[in-house]
Amino acid sequence: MGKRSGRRITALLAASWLVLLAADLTALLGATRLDFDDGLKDAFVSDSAWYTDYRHFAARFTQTDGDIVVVFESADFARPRALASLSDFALEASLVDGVASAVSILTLRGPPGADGATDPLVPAVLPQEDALAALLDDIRAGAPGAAALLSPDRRLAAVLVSLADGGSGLEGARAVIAELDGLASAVARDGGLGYFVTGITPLRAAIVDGLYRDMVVLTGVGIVAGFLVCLVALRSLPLALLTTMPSATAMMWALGVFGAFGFRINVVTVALPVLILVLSFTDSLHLTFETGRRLHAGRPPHAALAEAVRRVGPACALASITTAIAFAGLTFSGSLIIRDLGFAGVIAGAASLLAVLFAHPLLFATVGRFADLAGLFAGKRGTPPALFDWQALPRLALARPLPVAAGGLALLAAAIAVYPTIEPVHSLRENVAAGNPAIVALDRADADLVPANAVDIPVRLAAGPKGGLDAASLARVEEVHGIVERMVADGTVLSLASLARQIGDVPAAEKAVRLQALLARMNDNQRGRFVSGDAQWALVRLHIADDGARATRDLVVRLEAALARSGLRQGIEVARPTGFLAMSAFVSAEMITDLNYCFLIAVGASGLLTVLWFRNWRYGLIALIPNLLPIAVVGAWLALSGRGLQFASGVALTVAFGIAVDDTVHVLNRLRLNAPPGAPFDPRAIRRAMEEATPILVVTTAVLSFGLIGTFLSTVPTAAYFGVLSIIVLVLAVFADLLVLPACLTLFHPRRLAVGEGRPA
Amino acid sequence: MRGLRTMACSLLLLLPGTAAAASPLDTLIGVWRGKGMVRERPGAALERAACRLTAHAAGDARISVTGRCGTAGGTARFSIALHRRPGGRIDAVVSSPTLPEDIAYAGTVSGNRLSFGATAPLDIDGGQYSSRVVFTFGGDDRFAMVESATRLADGQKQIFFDMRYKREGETRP
Repeated sequence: MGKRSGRRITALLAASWLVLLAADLTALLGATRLDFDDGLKDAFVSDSAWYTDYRHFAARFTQTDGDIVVVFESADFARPRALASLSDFALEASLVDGVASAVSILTLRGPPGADGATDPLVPAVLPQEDALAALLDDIRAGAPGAAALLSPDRRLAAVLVSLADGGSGLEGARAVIAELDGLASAVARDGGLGYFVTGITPLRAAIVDGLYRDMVVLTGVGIVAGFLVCLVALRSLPLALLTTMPSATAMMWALGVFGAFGFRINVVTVALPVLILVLSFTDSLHLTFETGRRLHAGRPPHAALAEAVRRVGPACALASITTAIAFAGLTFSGSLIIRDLGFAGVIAGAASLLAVLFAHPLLFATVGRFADLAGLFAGKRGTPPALFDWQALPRLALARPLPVAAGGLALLAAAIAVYPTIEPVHSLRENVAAGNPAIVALDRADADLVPANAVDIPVRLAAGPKGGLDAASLARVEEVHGIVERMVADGTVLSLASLARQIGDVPAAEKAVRLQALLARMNDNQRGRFVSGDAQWALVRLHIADDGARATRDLVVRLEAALARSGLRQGIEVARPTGFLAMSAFVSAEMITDLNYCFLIAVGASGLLTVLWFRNWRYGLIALIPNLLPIAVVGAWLALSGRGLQFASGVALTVAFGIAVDDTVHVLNRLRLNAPPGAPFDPRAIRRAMEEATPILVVTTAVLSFGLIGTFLSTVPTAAYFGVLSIIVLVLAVFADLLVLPACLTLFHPRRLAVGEGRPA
Repeated sequence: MRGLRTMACSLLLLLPGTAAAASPLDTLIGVWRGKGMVRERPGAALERAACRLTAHAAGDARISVTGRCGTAGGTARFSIALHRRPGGRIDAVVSSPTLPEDIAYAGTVSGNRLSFGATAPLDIDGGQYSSRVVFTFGGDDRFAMVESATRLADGQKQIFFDMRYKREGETRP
């Protein structure tokens, strides 16, 4: 190499480094714009009629998911000091900025008079303990909504704090929660009480708090685990470091792209950065191994690097494209949050591939410019140890191709037959760890007071554009209230009928007038729990525990049937049950089913791409077997075990499919490189391809699996579940590619096709 | 909410109370928390209530007060514009979304007590009432405020607002 050429290369390297640093800085800037959100509100945004109903009525009624529940514990709230402390808190809470109202047992009032005026049931000057105990028991037994505010043993008392914005702004809610916590702490200390803060909004805040930590931990563990596997596989610290650095660059670029495009880290996307990281690790490893192979073959360093990119780069690109196709399949989901994951996956995948293909050769070329690159690969460095060389699998497949292929196909057929029986499963709680304080508190409040979750049944008020409450519409509300109460004996039903019962024996028209006057005295937040803002609808709200989407769907179907039997005109006099719980139960089922279609789209598109890329339809057809087998087996297991298909598992199967395809692509790429012209199924080429690919596939699977182990530490259980399923799919995929794929490829050899089981020459 | 409307009216007291201190307007400036009782309407039972308010100077002779008061039944926001007149008189105008219209008060200072009266009868639940508010200051950091209303038709008098305020924080700003 002449001096001038050397200077040119040095200048080129310097320029490339400048480009890389500029790109890294830009990515860093983008990453600072990353936003964190639980995504639960977006998860069900869709065109579904259930979502349309929910949106329609959620805007008209006060929603329970905007409540913050502060529960106090006392030996007995009949002790005046304890109740006075509760009162102090409720009063102070109502004055906190961002709070619309604070409702406690002291808020409850007697029946409205003719002008709607009511008196508090608990007097300002509290009576002695015995009298107060009797009073509280009477209130709990008779006052509407009291069961949600005081436990039967009077040891728990709740203050329901409604946020002015209904909980839509999590940052504002977080400030309110912090102030309420401070107030509750002071009151509890002064009054000798215990307390806890819970509700859907604090739960969402707890999820978001965990997401940032998750992203740091997941990616940190991913990098360390990936590096350690590289260290073992490459048997060289410098090579492990050089292989890890492009992956770190890829992750930075991917995060930069997320930030720049405004994607949010939520319960679904939290595992995406580590996924991108481990995928880029595999690309980087393939390039390192191929560089070593070229150097060991006697090629000069610059040629070895160029040839590595030329020989493995296309396969890395195809593998990234097939993974991108899997992500692109998710963009067909009905869920906004899943669609966003799909788009984010496609864009981040592309950024990651570019980063590796740019940074890997640049790093190695720079090292080669100033040090002995071949020396880095001296001896067995850069060659996987025997630990990763599972040649026994392809040897078995090549020795017994027919039974292995037949076994694989039979397993695939059986799994595909079972897969469609898989049932969509969803619960709002699946995104929160069972031991999370907010969920423990919510469970306690649900068990001892009244569940925070509710199913809403809107009932039409008086006809005409002005709507309003009259005797006939009140009778309708009372009828629906009665139906719901009879059907769900363990539920708590709250409606205008509850208030009407307090009034006692007066004519219906008079009751309606008094209730109208009472409603007029309420603030918007309180009124919105009984009637819509436009006075067109009344609300019958059934508070019920969240026992999962299936239980909620069953309940709603039974409610619909009971309402239909009553003769009330559906959609005219009474609307279909709605609310977040009912909507999410039905929409989640539709969306999870949708994920199956996303998966089918990914399968079809990746098969087509494989055919076009290798220009061999048989490659595409055969590739489907090892690609589908892991997913179908895991899907069948989910169906047979009754675990069902959640958002996390549906996404994991689709994404893992895209990753599993990578192994197949690298085997086929090796076969393409080794096969003589016109003999794409040449047995020697297959054997050689498997010899070359096997250790690398095992190493990359180890990198992926160990890299994803970090998900087990996630505060989001669905992210951990995603990680477990992905690892299972990846391990099954490597078995399918090392066992079933070579067997199927061998069976396609023309001579074997002609003579049957005879061993090819 | 009618009770909250009464409460908003009563907050007027705060301003004269400040005037009653050695440096009344300066004393009022700051953040206050109050606890006490209010009556929602004539004849109704007293209810526990709490208030938060913030006062700041709006010129040499003016103070602007904003705040929020609540009972178990709900809350009301209010604002008060105070104006010190020559001769120790203080005028105040109370505004609140819960009031049908602004209410004007006029007050005088006597020692640590400040007495205020509404400049026009108040219409409460269809009845005409005169409103009188007395503030008693116990230093720079606390004061009590009691409002009574007398029905003009029969002279019946009731306490509507009885609140004890403490300054938030350790000292005066």
